[in-house]
Amino acid sequence: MAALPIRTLHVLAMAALVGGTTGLWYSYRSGTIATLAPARQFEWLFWGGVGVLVVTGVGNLGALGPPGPGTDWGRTLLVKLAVVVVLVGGSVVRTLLLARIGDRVNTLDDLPPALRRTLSQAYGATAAVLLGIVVLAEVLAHG
Amino acid sequence: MAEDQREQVEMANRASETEPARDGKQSFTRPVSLVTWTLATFDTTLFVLLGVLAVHASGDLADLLAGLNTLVGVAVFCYLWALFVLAVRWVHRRVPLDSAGVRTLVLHGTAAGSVAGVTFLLGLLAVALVSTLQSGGVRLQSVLLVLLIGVGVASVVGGVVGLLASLLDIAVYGLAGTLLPELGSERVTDPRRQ
Repeated sequence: MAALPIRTLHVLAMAALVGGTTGLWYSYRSGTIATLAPARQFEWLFWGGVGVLVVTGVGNLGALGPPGPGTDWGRTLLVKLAVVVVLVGGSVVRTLLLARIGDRVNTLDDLPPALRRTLSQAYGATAAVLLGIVVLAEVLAHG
Repeated sequence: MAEDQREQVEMANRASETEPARDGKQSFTRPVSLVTWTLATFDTTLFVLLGVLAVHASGDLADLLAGLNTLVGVAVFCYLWALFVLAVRWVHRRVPLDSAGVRTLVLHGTAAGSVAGVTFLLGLLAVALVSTLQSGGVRLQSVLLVLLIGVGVASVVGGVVGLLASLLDIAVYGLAGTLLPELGSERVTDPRRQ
């Protein structure tokens, strides 16, 4: 009974993370956003979304009854879990980088171009890994 | 409007100057700072992900998840998440992440992990006890024995998790510091005004 809400929450959380990171990547790259404040606000949502993704992801696995790692599906799941670990590890460095930048500059001041480039690259890399996870999820869902 | 926002940020900055940790900039308006929220969620999700990865690699994931109710699983995860947030907040309020020694941070992390481990177990036992009492009688000696052994094991496991988590937190915080770009004398330009 809880499978559908859990799956819906999983998809919504992923959509929020992909949309947010892609938007920030483009905004810092093009200079539409030049301050730190939007990124700092988004990081709160991002980590909430990561928590929701993990718990609903495990919930989905429980509903599916995953086959062992010896099958194609099981191997793909193993790869997906490893990529999620990479995403979480990379994202924590990005957020802490952002927090440490915030210690040096005012969040409402225009950022120097070097910092904008760094943030753009960080969000671009995060968005790329997230899209990779979406592709792996598609493979798991539809083969 | 912009002046109001600037004033709010300055008020938050002034309030943060009384905090021991430098990441306390948000402490005026939020119960936890961004760094605390990030590291606590990072520790929680990594803990769960590595567990799921290990169980899946051993081929036992389907059996394990089959015996777990979805809503119970969500509740346990949220409970664990909240404990990680409280433990990391406790450490960060006492020890500044960027200036304290590794030994001090790890000791605080181990202590917080140990307490969190025992609290996690006590919460689960309390829920289990209520359902057992509802279904029938329960012997006091059995409860005390489970409590005694369980608390010992939970404090050790929690301490080890806290130690590893604090080492990892120090490592990623340090890594983020090394990746900070040099600001130098680069001119601040805004493409919107060009």
